Amino acid sequence: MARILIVDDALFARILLRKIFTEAGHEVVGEASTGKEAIELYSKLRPDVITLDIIMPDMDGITALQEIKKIDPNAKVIMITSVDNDKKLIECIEAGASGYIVKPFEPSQVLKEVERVLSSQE
Amino acid sequence: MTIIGANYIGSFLEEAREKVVELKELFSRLSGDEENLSKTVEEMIRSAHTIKGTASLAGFPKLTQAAHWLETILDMIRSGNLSLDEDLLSIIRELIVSIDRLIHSIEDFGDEREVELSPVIARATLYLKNASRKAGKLPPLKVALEKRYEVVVSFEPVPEKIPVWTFAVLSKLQRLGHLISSEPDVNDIIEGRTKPGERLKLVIESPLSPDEIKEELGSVNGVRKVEVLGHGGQNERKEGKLRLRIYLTEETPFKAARALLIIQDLRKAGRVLSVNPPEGEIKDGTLLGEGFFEVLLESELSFERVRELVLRHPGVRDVIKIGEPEGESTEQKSFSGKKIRPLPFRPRKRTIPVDVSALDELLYSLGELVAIGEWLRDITSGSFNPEQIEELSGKLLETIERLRKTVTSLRTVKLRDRIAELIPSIEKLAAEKGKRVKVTILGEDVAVDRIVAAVVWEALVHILRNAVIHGIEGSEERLRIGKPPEGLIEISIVPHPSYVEVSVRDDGRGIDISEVKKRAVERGIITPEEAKRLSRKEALMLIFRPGMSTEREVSEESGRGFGLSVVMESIRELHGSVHVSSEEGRGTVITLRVPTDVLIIPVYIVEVGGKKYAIPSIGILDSFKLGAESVRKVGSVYVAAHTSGIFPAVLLHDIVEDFAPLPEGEVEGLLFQFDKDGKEKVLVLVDRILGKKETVVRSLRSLVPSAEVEKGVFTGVIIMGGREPVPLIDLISLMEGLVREKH
Repeated sequence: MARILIVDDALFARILLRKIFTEAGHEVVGEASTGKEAIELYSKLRPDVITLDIIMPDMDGITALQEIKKIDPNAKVIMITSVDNDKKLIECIEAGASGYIVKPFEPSQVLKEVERVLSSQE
Repeated sequence: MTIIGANYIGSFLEEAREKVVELKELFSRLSGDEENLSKTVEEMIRSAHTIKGTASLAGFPKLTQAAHWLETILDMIRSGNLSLDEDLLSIIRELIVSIDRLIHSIEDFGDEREVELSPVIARATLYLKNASRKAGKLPPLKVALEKRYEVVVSFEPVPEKIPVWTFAVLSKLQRLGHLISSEPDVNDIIEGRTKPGERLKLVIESPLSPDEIKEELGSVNGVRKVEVLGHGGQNERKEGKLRLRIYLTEETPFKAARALLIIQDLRKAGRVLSVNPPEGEIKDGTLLGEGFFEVLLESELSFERVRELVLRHPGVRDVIKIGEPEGESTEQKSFSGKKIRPLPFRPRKRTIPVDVSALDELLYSLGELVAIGEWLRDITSGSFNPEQIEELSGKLLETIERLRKTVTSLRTVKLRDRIAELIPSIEKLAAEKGKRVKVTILGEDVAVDRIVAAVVWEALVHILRNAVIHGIEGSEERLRIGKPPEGLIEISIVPHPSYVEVSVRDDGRGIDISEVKKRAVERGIITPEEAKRLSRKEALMLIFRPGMSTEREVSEESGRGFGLSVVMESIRELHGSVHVSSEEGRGTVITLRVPTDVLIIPVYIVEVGGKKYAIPSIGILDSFKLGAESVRKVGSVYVAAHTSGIFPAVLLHDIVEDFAPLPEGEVEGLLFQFDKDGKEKVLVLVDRILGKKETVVRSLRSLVPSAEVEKGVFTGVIIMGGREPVPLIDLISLMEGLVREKH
């Protein structure tokens, strides 16, 4: 199954996502809590999918997204977002995010989105 | 020629030289080192980009163009659209050499005259052309989605600027797709070999829709008009047009984002000819009807296949095919029907404006709680140590407190503000009735629960209307009886620690008690005998009974006589109370007493006959123990003697235990203040007081049919420690019931 990198500054979000992914048979290859770490880990680990928090302490999710897209234009990035980030989310999609998942996480929806993104071309 | 001063040329050149050295260095690493290829390309793009930016700022078009071509080609390598081969490497080298020579030329002559750029650009253009022809090796989906278009770009009639604009169009095209051919040759225009016309004919291949190409190219400076024509490419014939309607589920978060992702996916499956509502509107959150959008798609894929693709998205309820768009000749035409408007009316949910940061707070806390739950599960399933448990419970308590604060803050509003909203409409009503009324608000402001504020507001609507319509006299009458011509209505807000009193005082004619009694008898609310026995206070309370309008005719303003009874009921549900006092000729005061916080109210938990009951602590002044022997039955009522006084008493046993015998030994009493003046007190006797606590109360109305509750003294339940519900006793109803029984 897929190799996934989780990026979120909230420990609890990471714990939860890891649980959701590993229980579904995916491999969580790494976790990061800042944008900088995310970019570093991405180029090191080259995961199949990265879930990226839209708000992080050190940089905007969209900046991290753009950086990751520079490293790998085919990177599959799924934004993690919560209720008030409508505009930002659309910006991210326009900047090449492949999908999004919403806090609080609904495991079935999270997995559906990840599997959709994995199966999509390019 | 340059737009920056001579002083800056030096620093510009310095930077440019530095970047060229970098580029040359990086170029030497480009072939051979497969592993770090993307990193090298990345760094080269950055250098090229810097040169492009500063050169364009300094006003050196050739240098700008060379750097731009270099950046573009490197970018295509990075994105996997081009792969490095000998030919490409040589083009890149040639571009870097050109850049280097241009910088020297600027250094030596102050301009770019020494360098001819067109040969390398021609080579690059040719290479790209061939590469896009050979694109068969690119992912098949990518090829399928590229459509060939003929595009006619018209420029503003400023000939000397057209080369620059053409260049801008060309740059834009590199992002949109591939340029196949142009007429006249774009490079000739840019290089100044062809006299520019105002029209530029391009053949391009692009994954974008005609509308998008129009939009993209239309945004370029100097472009007046963009026409996009299908080129009649061979694979278009086989493709069918599908008109899809895609429904999102109601609870889908970020419908706009989801819709955009779906449209993006459809672009991979074919050609999106149009979207309804337009993408721009979708981005702003507009969808049609109950939450769908429509896409006109041209695709080789079957509807079933497309549907399957779309249904992979979370939050998609359904995808249906709507009527074949037959006879629609060009893709420019939108859907044949008119734009479907959003449903004009939808039953509105009750909404409140909420500070977004509070929602974030809530989500955060929720996340913490979920994680704590997960943690807890991990701990209980494996080995654990006490420290972990302690840490966890600390975290839990902290989170709950945070949640409580946030929720409370969400729910509170300023009562005074809410009440102030009423004043204009009341003054308007007075004017319509030909009366002069001044409404003032006195007292401190207090934050109360939204529900409380809403109930108070609703109650005041009725009370103030009554005051204006029935209470305040007309100016002439007022003058005749020696009152100032302007009537006065005073709303005062008096906060107490756990409740708030809102009174409305008017200086009108007051309530005619005999009239009230007469009406109550006429309408069968009380018997003539009862009317005679009723005290003044009890008679006044009749105005809160259903069906007691003092207006003979049902009028729009005063309602159908339910107004005040509704007030009473809603205040009661909040565990509040209503009091009225009135003096004929002098005016009326109606006082509402409501808790500031309705969700969580303080209650006494008591035990009667071995069962637990809860009594709201509002109105309870004191609690004490007393010997059962100090409770006596005098006539039909109980009287209890205590060191602090002698009180009428109510045995809760009588109510809840069907007249159980008086308990022996010690009993406990709650001293309940029955009216707001504090003159009427009653001692509520129970077996034991178990304690006082703040608790969430659920209205019984939501649990059992209201008729059952109507007359009862149990108005709700509280849940303690997740066990069986404890009935909540409404002392006010209880007292009223007793008063009724007395008569």
